[in-house]
Amino acid sequence: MSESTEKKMVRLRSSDGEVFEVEESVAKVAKTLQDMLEEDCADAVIPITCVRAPILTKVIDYCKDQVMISSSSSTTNNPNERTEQERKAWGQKFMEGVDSSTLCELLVASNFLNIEGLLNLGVDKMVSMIQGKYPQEIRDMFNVVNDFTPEEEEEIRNQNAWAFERDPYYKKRSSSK
Amino acid sequence: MENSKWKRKRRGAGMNLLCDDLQEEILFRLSCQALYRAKCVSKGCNDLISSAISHGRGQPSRTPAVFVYAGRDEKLRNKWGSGLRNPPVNIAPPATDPSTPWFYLNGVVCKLPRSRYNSDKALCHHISSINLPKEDHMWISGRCAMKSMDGCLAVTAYVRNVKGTELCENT
Repeated sequence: MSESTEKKMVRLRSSDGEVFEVEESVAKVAKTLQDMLEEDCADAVIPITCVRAPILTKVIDYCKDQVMISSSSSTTNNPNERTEQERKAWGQKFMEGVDSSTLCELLVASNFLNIEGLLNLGVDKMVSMIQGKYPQEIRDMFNVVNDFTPEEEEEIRNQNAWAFERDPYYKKRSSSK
Repeated sequence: MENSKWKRKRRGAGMNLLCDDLQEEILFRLSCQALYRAKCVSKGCNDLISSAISHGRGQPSRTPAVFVYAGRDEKLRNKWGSGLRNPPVNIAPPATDPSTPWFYLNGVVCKLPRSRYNSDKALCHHISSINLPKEDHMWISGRCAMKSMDGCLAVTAYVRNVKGTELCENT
């Protein structure tokens, strides 16, 4: 009978082959995994084929936190307020120091695993990284190639010139031909 | 129909990893200014933003940038009102949570404390101070009002996509 009180564990394998053992409640924070587990579609080890180990580690951290918060909120007098504050603070801390490439991988992972909270956190972080930046800064941050011709770029800038005022990175280019 | 967006020039994860839905999710949480700037990043970005705006996604998170006129300028109200091609969009609180009024502003969910709904003026004032950097204020357009729906308070706003802001460029 003591086995029934033991926490059920789930094994997840990252795209680079590392295996993580987590409590089932933690895995179930991810809706994709929850569906698999509840419909008995999961193998002994669930392959998470599009998520590398370092990213999966971070995702698991997030899920563990969600389990902890939901279990602690049921014991507090004012669960909603506390949870909201805690989530905000923790979310900011969780995303602290995450660079753009890690963030993109986290977004892919949370999208694939269907973890809405983490997806929201990632999208908000991404937005905060883009907000207030000029086009060249955004290109640099995400390795985007500027494939506009000078004329095309000029035209788009002119359509909404107010948004580009005092852009220190922009120098009018001209076509060589 | 494939959009090639956010191309990368060297190895390493970038925006190109993200599917269209995710990219849209990000783009439509940007402020109006940041959205215009993002259009200028690459052809792919420009295409993505333009097509999403013109098609007007139905889902809340895909809603094109929403502009709500939060001022008391009668001229602008009239101009906006008469220039509407689409019927006003009613943005109501979700049925599951009628106590939390919300609406979308620039694609961002804005939640208003119920007390703010006491008067149209207070609501307008509150909207004008939400989630928008100063430089965006002049681009807020449309008209907002409030009405009661089954005992719940809701915001009715005239909604325009980004192109709609051209209506008030000269004001």
